[in-house]
Amino acid sequence: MAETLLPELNEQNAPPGTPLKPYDVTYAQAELERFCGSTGEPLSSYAHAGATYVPPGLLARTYGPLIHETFHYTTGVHVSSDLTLRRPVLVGETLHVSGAIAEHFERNGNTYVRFSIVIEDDAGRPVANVEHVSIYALRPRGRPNPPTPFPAREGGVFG
Amino acid sequence: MTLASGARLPTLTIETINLAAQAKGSIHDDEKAREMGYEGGFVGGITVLGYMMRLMHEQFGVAWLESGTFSGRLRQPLYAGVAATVEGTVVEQPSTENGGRVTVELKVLDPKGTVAAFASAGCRAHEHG
Repeated sequence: MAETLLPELNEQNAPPGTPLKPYDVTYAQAELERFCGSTGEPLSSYAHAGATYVPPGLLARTYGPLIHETFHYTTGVHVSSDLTLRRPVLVGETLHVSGAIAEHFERNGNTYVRFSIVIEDDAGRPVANVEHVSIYALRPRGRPNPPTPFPAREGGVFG
Repeated sequence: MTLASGARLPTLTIETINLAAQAKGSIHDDEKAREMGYEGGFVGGITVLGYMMRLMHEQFGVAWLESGTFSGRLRQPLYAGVAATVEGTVVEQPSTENGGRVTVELKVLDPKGTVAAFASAGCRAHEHG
């Protein structure tokens, strides 16, 4: 794996409120088709009344560059995504993606990060919001749970 | 189809693909995932959540794109090259009181019937197709 100059993701380097590096994205046809291929649907199914729209899954995926171009971690696991769509996004639109760290927490020996993402159009109007949670320090399977300094969370995701 | 509470959406079966298998050192990489004690590289979380979003889009069309909410949780790894099943059940039917929104509980099952992911999703209930 290539060396990185980005800071390690941890609570010290990324306390709640830390902004993530914003970026702009315009989805190309090939990327849209690749994504739709992975979910087994044709991109043409996103054509409605003469316009083609971006699958919402791609909006949820905006978290990737946001966290990985701001902080370094190697073996993360996606835990959850909460997505709120404000309006449909047309293919070809340029979107502005920004966000900030919301919290870190630990459960069953895994360390989690939650961050909030705002996706806006060229005019600064929100088109979607995402709350994303990933494990960024994963306990290898079979290793006993260490005692955690944080209160246990409800629910079981990769616990 | 009816959107009464308890109504089931048409079930989908999707052959899983791991688009991120080449991301060396990630949990999607077979070698790394096995080193971590798993069977193989995980299918990407967004792909798995995307299966459930697909069901919402197929059922509700533009209304889903315009007004959708989705709260998805990944529970167990899903591996490439298997048939995943996607199910949805209406848990709140559209009404005047809820602004004409439908709420659906969704889940993705692996071939053993284990829930790999689940979600609650909603949108204005503009029936599609």
